[in-house]
Amino acid sequence: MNYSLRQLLLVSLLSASMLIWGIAAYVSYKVTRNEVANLFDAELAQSAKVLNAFVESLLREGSFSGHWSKEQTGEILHTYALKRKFKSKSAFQLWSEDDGLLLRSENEPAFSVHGFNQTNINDQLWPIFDELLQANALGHKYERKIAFQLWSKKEGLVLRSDSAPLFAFSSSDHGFSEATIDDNVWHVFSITTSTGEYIIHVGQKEEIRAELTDEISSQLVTQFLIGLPFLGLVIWIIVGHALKPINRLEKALAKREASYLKPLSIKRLPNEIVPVVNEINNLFVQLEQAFEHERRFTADASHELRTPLAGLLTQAHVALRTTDEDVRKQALLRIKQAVNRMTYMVQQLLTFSRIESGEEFLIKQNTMVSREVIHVIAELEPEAHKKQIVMELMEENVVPVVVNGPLVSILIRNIIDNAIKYTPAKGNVLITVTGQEKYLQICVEDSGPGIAPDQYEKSLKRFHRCVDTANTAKGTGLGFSMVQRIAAIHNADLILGVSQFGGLKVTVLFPLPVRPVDKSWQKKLSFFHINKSS
Amino acid sequence: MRLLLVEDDEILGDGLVAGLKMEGYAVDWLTNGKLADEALKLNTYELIVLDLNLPDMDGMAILTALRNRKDETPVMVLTAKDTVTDRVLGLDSGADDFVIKPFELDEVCARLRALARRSEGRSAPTIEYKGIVLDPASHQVTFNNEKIELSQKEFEILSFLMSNIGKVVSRSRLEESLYSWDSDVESNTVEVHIHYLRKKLDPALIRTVRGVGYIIDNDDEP
Repeated sequence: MNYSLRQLLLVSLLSASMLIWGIAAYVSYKVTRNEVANLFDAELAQSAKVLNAFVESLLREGSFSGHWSKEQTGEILHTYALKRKFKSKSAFQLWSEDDGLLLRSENEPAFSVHGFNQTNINDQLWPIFDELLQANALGHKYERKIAFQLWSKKEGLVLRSDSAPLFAFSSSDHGFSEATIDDNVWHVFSITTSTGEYIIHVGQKEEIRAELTDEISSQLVTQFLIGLPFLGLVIWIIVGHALKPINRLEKALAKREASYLKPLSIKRLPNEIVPVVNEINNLFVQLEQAFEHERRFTADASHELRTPLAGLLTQAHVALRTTDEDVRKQALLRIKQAVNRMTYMVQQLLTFSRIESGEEFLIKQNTMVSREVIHVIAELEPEAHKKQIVMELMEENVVPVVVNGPLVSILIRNIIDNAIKYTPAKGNVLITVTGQEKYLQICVEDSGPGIAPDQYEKSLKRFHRCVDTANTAKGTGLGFSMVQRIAAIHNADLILGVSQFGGLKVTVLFPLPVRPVDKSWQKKLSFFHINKSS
Repeated sequence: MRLLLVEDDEILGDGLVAGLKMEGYAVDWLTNGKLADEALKLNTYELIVLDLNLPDMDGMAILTALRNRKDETPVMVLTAKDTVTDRVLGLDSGADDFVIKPFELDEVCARLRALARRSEGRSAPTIEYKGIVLDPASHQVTFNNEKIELSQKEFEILSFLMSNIGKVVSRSRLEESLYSWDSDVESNTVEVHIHYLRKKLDPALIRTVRGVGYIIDNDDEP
């Protein structure tokens, strides 16, 4: 299945950043909530303590509406100094209508003055301490949700803020607790005056905390949602930029065709693509060689066909023009010869091209090569017999090898055919098949003129025919190149040499299949050998 | 006219020999480059037909060696290679003409005649002298506008002598020109042919230079 790298990178990078951001957001939400809770707890406690200080001052004076002296407040301030870490972030002031500032925290904010109000509830006059901070310029929206109560053990509820209920916030008389009033959860901090007469509850709605954290979280989410398309765009552009070399490569590749296989440039390519391009270039080189091979073969073959064609044409002319009956007969005979030779050549060419591409030549099987040799000899014997050539086969220690039967058959046929062609009448052709340690050796020796050692390499070339024998043997010059090709396909070695009859000796060495058992034995043997010698 | 054919292909060589013999050439045929090179050093030929793809010694090498010996014998090259570069290379190495296989025998013969003509310094296809008109292409001779029937050998001798008007041609040279290696030469054949030529044409045309050979005197020259 195909996919776009750009899309894949975009989707995966975006998903990954979303996931990581999500985790980070969740953690920071948790931490924020915790911090907010701490902050508000501290505020609660502080408020309670301030109230307590206030009440205690009143008690000391013996009157709620008595006068306070600054010396006392200083002491109280000390006593109730906040030890929580958020102390510096909360500030308070206590003001008297008459005397001005009575009590304040260490960091001094600028609050305005508020006083006591009186409210009529159930025909009873309740002193209510108005919430200091309204939702005004001075206040803060979260602060409205704070309420307090002042309970006297004797008189019940003495003082409360507007939002505080009429019943006790909490049963606890000291420290933090939670209460549910009208489906609202309140965080309550309670404190008892030193005399134990009064209990102060300061409550704060859970809502306010949730609101704050929700606000922070929603901020985070909105920012991310706004940032997401931008992030996507940036990723898209960056990935597109990074993929530019691939586009360039594609364009360069599109220009390449069978006749134009110039290596691709690796200049300005990322290191990740360079190996790919190098491999492609290697392939180009191989392709070029194959094409060149093909071109040269076609050229060689057509050139080789021109000479016999010229011969045919010339002989036909002679036959047409001569008045001499003998000359005409001779010319017609030559024409027949030429046609036979060309037929043979075309057959060889077809076989040769099939070796390169034929499917039937791909399968390699365990084959008794000597059986193929016998087949070929049986076929070619009549020809040898005509020339009174003695053909003989010797087998020794024959083992099967993994080869393609038909191909090896062509190989053997070409070698033996060659030997018969080049061997003069009453000569010898000896074929030996011998199993050796690593090879199966097929050896064909003849009593022909042989090839000079310096001509060995040349004689393996396509369409090369040997000097003195070329005319008599009527070869196509394809036989040996075919033999060579088949040997190469089988990793077999092809060796030319001098035969015992003074003629040519062609040796083909087929490698035996390597058996792992044999190898281990060899190893063991060599191991023993080393031990002995040391 | 004596011609050396160097061609390694048996059937083509055989056909060319037969065809060129019909044209009246005395053809020597060699199939091996080295032998051809040796033969060219020892013998004189009027024409050489040379195949390039030869065993032992390349046709081009033979050609180069020939020209290096200042031998100006016209050479026609037979080749299977048909690219322009091959032809340019061949002509630059001293070939006078190029024929690409496969070829028509008629074309080869016509080109050979043209080569011979050029080597003799003639531009007209026929040789004319004292009322005798000799046409190498059709092998016909007319004397005073009358057609004269000549045998092949007579035609060859006449054409050789008429190509060398004013020069003494030795008897052995004439023999060489008439016979290839494989034909038997009788000692008096040339005399017999000369005799018939004198009979059929003007008896005073061919003058015998005793002990040397024959000449057609150039009376046009002062």
